[in-house]
Amino acid sequence: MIKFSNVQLGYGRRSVLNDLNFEIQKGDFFGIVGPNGAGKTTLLKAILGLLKPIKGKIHFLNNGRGHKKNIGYVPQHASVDELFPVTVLDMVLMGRYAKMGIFKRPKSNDYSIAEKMMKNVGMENLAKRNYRELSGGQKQRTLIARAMAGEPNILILDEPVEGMDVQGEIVIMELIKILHAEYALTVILVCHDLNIIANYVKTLSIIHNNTLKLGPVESILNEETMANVYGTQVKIVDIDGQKAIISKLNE
Amino acid sequence: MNEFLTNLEFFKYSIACSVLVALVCSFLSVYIVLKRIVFVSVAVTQVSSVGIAIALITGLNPTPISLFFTFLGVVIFSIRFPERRLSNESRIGIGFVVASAASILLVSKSAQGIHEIDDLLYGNILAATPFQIYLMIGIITCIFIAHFLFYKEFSAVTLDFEMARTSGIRARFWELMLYLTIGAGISIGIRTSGNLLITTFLIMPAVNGLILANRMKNVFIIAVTTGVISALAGFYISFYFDLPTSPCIVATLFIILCLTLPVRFLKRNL
Repeated sequence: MIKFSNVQLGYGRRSVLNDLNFEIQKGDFFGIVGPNGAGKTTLLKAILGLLKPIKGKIHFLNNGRGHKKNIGYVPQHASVDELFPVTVLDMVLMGRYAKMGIFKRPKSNDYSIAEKMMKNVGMENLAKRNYRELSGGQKQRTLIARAMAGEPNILILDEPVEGMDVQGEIVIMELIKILHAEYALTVILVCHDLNIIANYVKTLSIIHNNTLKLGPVESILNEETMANVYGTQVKIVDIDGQKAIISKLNE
Repeated sequence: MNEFLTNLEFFKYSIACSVLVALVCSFLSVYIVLKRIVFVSVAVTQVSSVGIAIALITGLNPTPISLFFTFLGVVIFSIRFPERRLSNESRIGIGFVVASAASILLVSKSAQGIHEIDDLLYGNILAATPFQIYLMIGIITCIFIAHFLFYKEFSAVTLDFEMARTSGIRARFWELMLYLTIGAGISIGIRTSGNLLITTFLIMPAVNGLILANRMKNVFIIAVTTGVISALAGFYISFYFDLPTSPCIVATLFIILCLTLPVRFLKRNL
């Protein structure tokens, strides 16, 4: 669905990621991890089309029928300016704007899609509430609904559980999991929480030393790789079928 | 009041001009404050003054020259450069001081020197002519039509530029269009109202609206109402006490803003 061919990413003359050659398959749940400053945001910006590659090409393919890029983007909720006085419904409707076309106003179809997406994320009862009055988890769900309102085939989330408590993290991640399955989405997730990554993504990409290591999460997420990337010993344990990654601080 | 009404015929174009400037700038101020580009608008206003300074020394029509310089300023200040060595804030600051100095230098050697510097800062409300008013009405109509037609594009690039881009909206183009309407709003009133008043109208009405309202529509209504009322009240106060008009309007707006804060407090706590 998304193919990187000899891609080099960076800013000006400074290269951040080199020789990227990989594909993100349709329907994948793709996680991006790496230490701070490794280039997670750079890779995300490139996929979003906000950063042009220095070299190489990023292809968006749709079942071999040509190029199609229909992305729903969920930024970190803290990045959305709370000064703006909009309701949850207004915010979700914004996800329809690009679909409506120029000169057009939201029609009943746009409202029904927005309402459906609010229902999907459990925000239908807060449709008239001001966005800035919501909790962090509610804001995140609103932004997911906004991204989904554009009926995307790729959902990209930047640190979706940043600043949330454990319960909030689970609610958001389970919601993403349901949407991934229900709408046959390709999900791309940037997250620094390895426990989230370990339990939700199918394919994992680890950014380290200006390049990308990629594979199924079971094979790539191991103690040796983690120690190498993060420079600290970790232990990966299985608790009731769920993976937990623990730093070994005393060693 | 009777004396004011008696002299209304003499002031009618000046009042119309003040109200039109208040109307359009107060409306645009909502985008300026929400987009956090107050300093950009201040710098663009100053660049617009360079156009007025050139018009003053050459005797040309100030509106098209001011419009040209304003659009130039809009394009320059709206470009986002990587902030590795020079922050965008510094770039805008440099633009502001250079434009300020340039406009003063341009008029300093003219026959009326200091008087024209005063005109740049405070405007010359007596420069309002019927032609000027019709021109303003025409441009303001275009601005409002653009904002009516493209509300969703302008609001999307104001709220979340990156989301707008990734969702398929031509965000850079619409942001530039938004800035051009702001530039047009600035340039039509700069000759008659001056820097001080234009800058005030581009900030304070929206702040008032955002303090009081929780919906975009209401923010626009409160901002425009505040701007127009303060223009009329300030004009009357300046006439009554024989004071300069622009500072009176600014003071009126500030008093309204000060009264807004307790209203907001009561609204939240009652």
